[in-house]
This record gives sequence, C-alpha cells and structure tokens, in this order.
Amino acid sequence: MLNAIYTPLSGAIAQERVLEVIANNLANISTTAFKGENVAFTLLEPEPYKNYKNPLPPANYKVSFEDLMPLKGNELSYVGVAEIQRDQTQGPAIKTNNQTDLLIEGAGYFVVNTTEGERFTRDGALKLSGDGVLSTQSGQALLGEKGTINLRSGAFSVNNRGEIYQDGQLVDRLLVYNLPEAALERAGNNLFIYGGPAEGKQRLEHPAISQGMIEGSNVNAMKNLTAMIFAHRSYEAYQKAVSNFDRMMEKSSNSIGEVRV
Amino acid sequence: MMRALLTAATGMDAQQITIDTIANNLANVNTTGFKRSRANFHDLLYQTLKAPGQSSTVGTIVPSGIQIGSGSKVSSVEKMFLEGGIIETRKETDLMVQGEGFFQVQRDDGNIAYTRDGNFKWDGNGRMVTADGFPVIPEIVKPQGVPHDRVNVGYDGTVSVRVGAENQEIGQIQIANFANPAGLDSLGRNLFGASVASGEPVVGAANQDGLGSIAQGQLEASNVNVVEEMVNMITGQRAYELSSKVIQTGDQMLQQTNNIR
Repeated sequence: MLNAIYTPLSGAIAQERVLEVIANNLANISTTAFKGENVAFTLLEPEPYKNYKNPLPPANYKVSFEDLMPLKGNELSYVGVAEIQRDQTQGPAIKTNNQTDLLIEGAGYFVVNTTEGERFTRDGALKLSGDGVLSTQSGQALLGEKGTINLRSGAFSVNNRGEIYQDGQLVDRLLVYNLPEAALERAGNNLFIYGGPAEGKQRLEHPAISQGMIEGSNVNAMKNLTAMIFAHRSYEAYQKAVSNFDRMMEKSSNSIGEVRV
Repeated sequence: MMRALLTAATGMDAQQITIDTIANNLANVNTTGFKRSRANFHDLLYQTLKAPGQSSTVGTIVPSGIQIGSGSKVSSVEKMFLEGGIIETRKETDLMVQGEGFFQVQRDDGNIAYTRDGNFKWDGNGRMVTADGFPVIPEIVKPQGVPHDRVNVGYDGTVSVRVGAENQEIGQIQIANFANPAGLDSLGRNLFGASVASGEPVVGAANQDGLGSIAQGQLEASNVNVVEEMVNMITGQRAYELSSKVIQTGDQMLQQTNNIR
C-alpha cells in the first residue's frame, strides 16, 4: 500500500519533465535554427532482490526487513524519462535579403571556433566583427577551409557551394560538416558539441547554402500546446491517484482499527 | 516544475524585446535614412541529465540523451543595413548615398558621427549642416550670394557652385564605410558612432573603392517594411502568448499539487 503511491508519483514527475521541455520549445519559437524536442518515456521495473541461496545468512549478519520479505519485481513499475529526442527536421526558410544571413538547405552544420574548441551550428544569422571576421551573433568566428574568414567592408556573395566571393575574388569556402545527430550535445547559444568518434564527422562536399535567408525554429506551436494540455491533464490524473491512495490509507488507519463500544 | 515557469519567463522576456524592436521600427517608418533592427535569439544552457552519444553498454550508444533546456535569450538586436527607398525631393542640399557608406558630421562635442540621413541645410555661415546644425565633415562652405539652384553635387561628392559663367569647386563630400555597419553605435538623431564592433572607418571620396555614389535632390527613405513588421508583430505576440500559457499551466499544476491534501 505504501509503495503503490510512488507509481503515480513517478508519472507526475515525468509529466513535469514534459512541461519543462515544452516550455523550452515554446520559449525558443523565434530562435534561429532551433530544433524542438519531445520526451520519450520508458517503463522502469524494480529489480527483484536477490534471493539467498542459504536459508539463513551467517549468524552475525543483521537481517533486514527486505531480506525476509523480498520485494518481487514486476509487482510495481514506474515511469521514467528514456530520452529527450530532438526533432531534426529543417525549420522554415525566412527571406531576409541580408547578405550576412546564410541558410543550409538539408543536412549540415557550420563550424564555429570558440575558446572551448570547435562547435557546430545551423544558425546562419551571422555578422561581421569590427575587423571583418565572419562570426556568429555572439562573436565567435566561423571557419572556412583556410581558417577564419576575413572580409573587407562592402558587398560579398556566397554561392550554393558555400564559396565566398568579394570583388570577384574567392575569399574562402565555408566548412560544412555532416554529423550524426545522436552524438550532438546542445551547448546553448545555438551551438552543438560533437562528442562522437572523429570518423563520424564528415565534410559535406556539396552543401546547399542560400544567402539572404535564415532558418526559423522548427517548433510547432499547435503540437506543443496539445502536448502541454495532455501533460497537464495526465499530471492531474496522477495526482488524483495519489490523493485516492491517501484516502485509502486514511481509511485503513482510522476506520479498520477503530475501537467501538 | 519551477524550471518550466522560469523557462517560459525567458521566452516572454525575449518576445517582449521583439515587440519593443518592432515598435521602434514602426515609429521610424518615415525617418530619413533609418535602418530597421531585428532581434536575434539563441537558446540558453542545457542541464544535461544524461549526455547523448555515451555508451550504455559496450558497443551501443545512447541515441539522444536527456538534456533539458532553460529557455531563450536575445543574442543581439541587429541593424539591417539594406538600402531604403528613394524619395525625390529636388532640393539641392538633399543628398543620398546610393550603395554603401555614411556621411560624416561633427557633433557638438567634437566627435565625428556617421549618418545615412542626407537631409542637409545651409547655416548662417554658409556651412552645410544637418537638421541639428552639425556640420558635414570636411566642411563645405557656400560662398555668400550664390543662389541655391547654382549648387551642384556630383556622383563622386564634388560640390561646385556656378558664379556667373564659371564653375567653382567648393568642397568634396567624403564617405565613410565600416567592416561591420551593424556594429555601429546608434546615437539617436539618425546618427551612428564608430565602435569596437563596427571597426575603424574607411574614408574616401564617393563612388570609389566600393563606396556608394551621391545622388543630389534625393533622400533615402526608411528601410522599414510595414507588412514585414506587422507579420513579425503577430508572430511575436503569439509567441509571447504561448509562453504565458505555459506559465498558466505550470501554475495550475502547482495549484493541484497543493490541493492533493
């Protein structure tokens, strides 16, 4: 009886995680190239206690309650968060006509040089720093084949292959990598950390880059709102279950043992 | 739970800045040489409960991991230096930079400021000044007694007056450009100041070295596109509303928790 209350509790905790993820999705509905997430659940079964081979442990062994009455597995199960999956679909292309806005159509990530090492991003809302280095909005330089990309003031063009031209001269070619999504860890600032093996990181020979466009957030407000209602109501149901267990325990402790004259 | 509330609050905060930016853009829809701004967003740090790409057992990799985001933030409010429309005024001191570059004017504190607003006038001493009386640098002085229809400004910025049958050159308008115009410091009064982010000004005669040419009798309209701003306002408002719904839901869930017993 006392244990049963933890099963709906685990469900309620899982639904809290869902609300947290939805809050993050909706807060980032205007973030450039943001990828929405959803929560996947898993069934958690408590492992049964190991049975003793010998009927009794050695004499000086302190016998605990669990040894005498081992909790059998599968009697109760709980809900846990298995993983938070990232929706990798491309966000909407938004036309801005701004020359420092780049969009990767299809797969690929730009490489960003940060003080902590290489980071990857699909956020193509770029800017030029004071000394003409093509960089992200937070001022971290983008990498091309020859390293950081230095541009002079004035117009430049980026073609479909990621080659940057200024005054008819090829300045550099943007590095675009194709990375296994599973090994990408989010680092905030629209950046990802690649934690997988080096051979998984592959240079994209034919990226499709469009200048004057940015990728919007792929968060679907409708989907997230319905998921939020769902999480809310499930949470409510779990709480009803918790309070019912409470009432049952109240009954057993107050009514069953009641002394009547 | 409290995390969802805080995450949603960051979303509302970010969207409020979008609306503030749009309000300023729309208020300046008729400001000469005004450049619209755009709020860029990025996601905040993630709380990693389980890092993606780790091995769960030998040879297997956790596909997604569990990372819970903490909302969004305005990474920059970026000025968009797209050229505005052309307003034909036929006034001799109305100048427009066609292409890249800024007029230079001297503020009352002696510092040089930069502007795209070419709505100039003659002051009592015959100097070419802005509407606030800041002189154009290098100074251009009209000789006494020359009627206003005898002043000519060439594409290259050469200012000449015709006295009798003779053309007399009275000055040269110089144009400054920056590696990153978006990094200029907005000073109000249509003026910009150089900053570390914008880089040092590159000054030269108009229509040379990639600098724009000068058109006399024309003004540059604001580059604010009303339809675009209205659409952005709608999305901004709705995104704000979505985050507020998350807060409402989180609040109700907490209320239910408090009412369990």
